[in-house]
Amino acid sequence: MRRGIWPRILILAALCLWLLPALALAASTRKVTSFQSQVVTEGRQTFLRIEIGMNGPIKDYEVKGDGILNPNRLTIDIDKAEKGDVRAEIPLDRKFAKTLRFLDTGKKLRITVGMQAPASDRNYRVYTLEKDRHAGKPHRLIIELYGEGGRRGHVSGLKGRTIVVDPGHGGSDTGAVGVGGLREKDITLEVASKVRDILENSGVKVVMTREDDRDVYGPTATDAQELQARVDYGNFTPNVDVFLSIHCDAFTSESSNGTSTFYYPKTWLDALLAQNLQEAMIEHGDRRDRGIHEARFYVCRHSTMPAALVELAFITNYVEGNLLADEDFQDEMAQGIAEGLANYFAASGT
Amino acid sequence: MMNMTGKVVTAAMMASLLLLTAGCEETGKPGTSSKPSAATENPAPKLNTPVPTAPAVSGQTEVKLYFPNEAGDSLGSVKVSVPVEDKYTAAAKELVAGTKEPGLTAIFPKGVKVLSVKVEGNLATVDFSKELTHKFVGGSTGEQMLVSALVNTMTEFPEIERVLITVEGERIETIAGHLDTGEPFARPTGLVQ
Repeated sequence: MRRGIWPRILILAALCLWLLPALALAASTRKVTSFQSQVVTEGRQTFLRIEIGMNGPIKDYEVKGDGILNPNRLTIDIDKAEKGDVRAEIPLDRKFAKTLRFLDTGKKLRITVGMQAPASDRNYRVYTLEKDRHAGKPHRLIIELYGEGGRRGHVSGLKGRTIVVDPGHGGSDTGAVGVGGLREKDITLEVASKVRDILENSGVKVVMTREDDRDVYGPTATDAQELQARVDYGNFTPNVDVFLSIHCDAFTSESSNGTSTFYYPKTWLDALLAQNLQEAMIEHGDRRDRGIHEARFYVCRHSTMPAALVELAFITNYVEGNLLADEDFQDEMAQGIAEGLANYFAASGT
Repeated sequence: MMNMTGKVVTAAMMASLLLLTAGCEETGKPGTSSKPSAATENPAPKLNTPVPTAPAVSGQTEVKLYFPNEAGDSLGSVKVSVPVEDKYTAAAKELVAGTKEPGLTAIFPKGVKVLSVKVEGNLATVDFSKELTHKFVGGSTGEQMLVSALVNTMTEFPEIERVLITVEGERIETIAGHLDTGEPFARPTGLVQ
């Protein structure tokens, strides 16, 4: 018995000695060395950017909204870090958040942000940046806070996808002409460009059938050549997940209004795509829900991947014509379309 | 899939029309029996009242024409009297001429003419002048309503099951860049109540 125990104790002791340097290394904590916050405007988005500089790389951190009890509180726990010499409580631009607090919990540095609205992935973004010698910047934790309306131009769940965006009509084909001479081809390009921006910002490879006011095939093309040229963008690009055509509706009766989505059921995915796009557009645009329609639409039928054609609103209706020309409405519809795509991918499991 | 489209009944009804093509022989042939005159369900306005027509004269026959409602989400019908000997072309011409029925709207572009209607087997080929595509006003909804109105009207004749649209004798791929009109359309079951 005795003989049996001693070697074990020796081994344990040796192990402890061997582990000591590692433990000491692990125990060396990062300290906060700088704090900076500023209101930033990028495009149509204004947000508060907080940069927390640290004297070493930030490896493990956890971000969470505090849920039911403290919905407006955003908490970030950084492993093996401590406050250092910065103030424990820092007031922020009240448009975005009230205060930011640092708290050493022993093992972790806890950062809490008192937001003006319940924390959700739409109104904040947290990420790290490496040390940048050229810019003279340390390792940083970045917290971006988006005020009312939330974060634009980004939708999660789309990274790595390839999507064809087809702005309806163009060039010699004006599409429908609505109130005040508003041309469908101009609106579809504007909204499609906004959709492209959001998708690219969200990690999507976007293929546009046209980037400006032109015929996709050529001004003298037949209708079939023109429509096929758009379809070819999808069919000849590898691994396209979705073909999306953006249009404005029109009708002889000016009272006709609302948003609809058309699809051709090549597989069950086409209807699922249409349904998700439609729901998100209604949520964001808040126009009359005309529903989704099965229809033998050229671009939907001839695309080899799931496809949908959205009709944003009626260019021939006075109220909706004005909305279609309004940048805020265009932004909402573009955001809705991007979210609809993300919801579709989540629902389809593809 | 039905429970998705079922959300908007009229949408589903309209939808199936444009989907069905030549091969769909199971497609029902409503309207030839004693079905009541048409009008769609809500939200379409009630349009049951047929336009008063002259008492049936010999050599005349009554045909039912379909027109979109003002919201552009369903079809209503109107009865008119046409000469028996040229009933197909007459019906198409009456349709293109439009209606004054309250709540219903015209959908064919101004100036478009019906050049001919040929019936071979169960297929009617309706040939229009170039204004059909050149002067067309309407987006997806307009296009869908135009085709639905034409196909429903022509398939009221029991011998016609499919309708092909041509312009000056040629097949067209589309009217305004949405619907694929390269092949005939058939009437769906359930489009009109």
